[in-house]
Amino acid sequence: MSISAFVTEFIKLMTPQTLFNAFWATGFGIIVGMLPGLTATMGVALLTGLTFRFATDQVIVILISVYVGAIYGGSRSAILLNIPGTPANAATCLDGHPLARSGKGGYAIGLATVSSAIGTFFGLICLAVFSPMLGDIALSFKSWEFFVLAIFGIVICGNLTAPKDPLKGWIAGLLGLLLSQIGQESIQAYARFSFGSVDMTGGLSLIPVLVGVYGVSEIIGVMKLPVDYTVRTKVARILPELKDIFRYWKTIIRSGVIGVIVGAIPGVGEDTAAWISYDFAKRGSKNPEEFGKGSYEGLIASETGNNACIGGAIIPVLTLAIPGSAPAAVLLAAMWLHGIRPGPLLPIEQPQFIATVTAIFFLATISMTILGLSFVRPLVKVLQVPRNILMPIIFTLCAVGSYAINGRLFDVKLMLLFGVIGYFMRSNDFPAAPLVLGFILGPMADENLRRALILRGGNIMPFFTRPICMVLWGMTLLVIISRSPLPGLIKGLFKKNPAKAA
Amino acid sequence: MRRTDTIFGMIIIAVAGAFAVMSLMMPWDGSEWGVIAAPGLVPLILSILLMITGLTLLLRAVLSKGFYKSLEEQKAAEADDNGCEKQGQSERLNKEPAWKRILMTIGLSAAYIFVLLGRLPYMVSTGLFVAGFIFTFKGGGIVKSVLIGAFTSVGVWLVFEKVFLVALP
Repeated sequence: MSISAFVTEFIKLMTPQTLFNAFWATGFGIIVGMLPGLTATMGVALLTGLTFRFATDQVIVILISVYVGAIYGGSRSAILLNIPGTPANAATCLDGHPLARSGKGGYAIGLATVSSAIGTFFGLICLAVFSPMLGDIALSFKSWEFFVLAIFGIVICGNLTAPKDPLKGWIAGLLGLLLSQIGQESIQAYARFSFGSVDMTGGLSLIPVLVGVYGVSEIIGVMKLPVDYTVRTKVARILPELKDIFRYWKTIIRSGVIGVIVGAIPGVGEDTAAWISYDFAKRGSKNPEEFGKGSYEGLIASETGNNACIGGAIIPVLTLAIPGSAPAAVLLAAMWLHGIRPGPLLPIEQPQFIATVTAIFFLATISMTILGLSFVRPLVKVLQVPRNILMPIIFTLCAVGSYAINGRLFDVKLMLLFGVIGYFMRSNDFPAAPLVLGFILGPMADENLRRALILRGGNIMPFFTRPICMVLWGMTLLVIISRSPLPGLIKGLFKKNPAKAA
Repeated sequence: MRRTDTIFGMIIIAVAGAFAVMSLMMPWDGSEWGVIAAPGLVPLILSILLMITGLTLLLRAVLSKGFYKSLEEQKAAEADDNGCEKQGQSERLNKEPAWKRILMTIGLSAAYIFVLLGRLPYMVSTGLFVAGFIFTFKGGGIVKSVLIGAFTSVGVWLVFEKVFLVALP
């Protein structure tokens, strides 16, 4: 993608309508991200339904702005409440809240804002550079590669989102794959698992499932808590000093790289990016003992990492039609709904689209920075709304968002069902991300497996002999073996042998 | 955790088994390509894989004490290391146990979706739900709850039907 293409697309965005939409959507995203019980995924999913009738170009502006705003917004509640507004900001609690306790809440918010802006900017540069490159490779993907990619996506997502117990991550992924098979299939138009119901024949819609798993389950989780939270509202100086940012330039670059790489891995998302960035920052820091006690470096690492992840997560969306994170999954669904077909053919069918998305990202970053540094004190008031009042209002918005796409009450019921399933899964350490990723990749896996078999008369060898398939199988096996008892056994054998020789 | 994993393992095996049986009941030779294009092929493969993983979870829960012991030790160590303090204490708003609050939340939401929505005008059903929810969870007295419920339902209707042009249930 050339700089002139980016500049051309950015100039096209400079219309009053687009600027207005970018600003209010970013502000909405910040509020959504800030409020515990609301997630970035839910915010993007909600607006996907509510902006269904808007023009496509405005919808993309709105959804990307909400995404960027929400991932950043969660840092506010992490700093002021010690509760992450979204899972992506959990690592921000560790150093953000101690800073608030010592009277530097405003400064912490300023640091978080600037770090998030730098992280998003880094992510968008990587999006602009790597998407065309990955797009060229993606043109080599045929049915065999897409099927194996779906398997790899589920395995690695399950592994990374359930590090203590990947078996549960894989179970969640397989369940998502299986549930996505409900409805009319694409090759013979047979209605699978429909039980004679017209609604079930239409299949389970993605937006209600997402709103249920990420929205309603969070509402149940928030309402479960016995006490309300204390808001530290003292916010003094906000604008950070440049020296406090540039002192940690290595941490910023490292966190940006980690964020982009983690984002590009299917389904893994911003929370993992933030924790890995934080962990690496602590290991590489000259003052690791300060981490967890109000370290600027820790705060900068987590916020840069989680926002850089946004750009990384959109790379596979545009090039392979595979989401790098849950909000990216909603963005993908929204693109499909509005007739955009992300994937290997995108650079051919819509060659300017990557430049457009990059320009929108840049606009959203500017909006986030301006709103983030200027509306600190008024937005703190929003945090003081009791959850007993806020949660039913959020639930009605979830219901509207789920209903808006297809106009079916069935979708609203589905949203509640997946909300309950999602709540019980997550409270028993089954991660939600593989379930959702499986739901998205299921139709792709199904269609491509059967198509590949039809093309070669039932021969399964191409799945194992094509070069990209072999690489993907190798990576899949590596992930599975690394979590099995085998490496421990092999290590044990080598430890015993030197003792025997002595 | 062992107990819940045992229950989850059994549920997963049952669900996977049901899907497998239903997949086998689909037509397997309904097209010129035969079994390889059968609608039940991929669901059957996935059901089998899910049954295997469900069985692994069940067997681990029943047989492996060491795994859960080390998991609990890990969680305990993380809780100590975690720099996050417990949530700030303020006045206890709700004295019911957690399971009761969960059931109340799900129950009120289910009543809204299955009983009110689609049967009453949207503003009435939403107003009733929001007011009932706030009142049940002691977010305010009757007057405050009704006012917030009314404001929410009118506001949502105005913004979404008139501004966003979204059809409401």
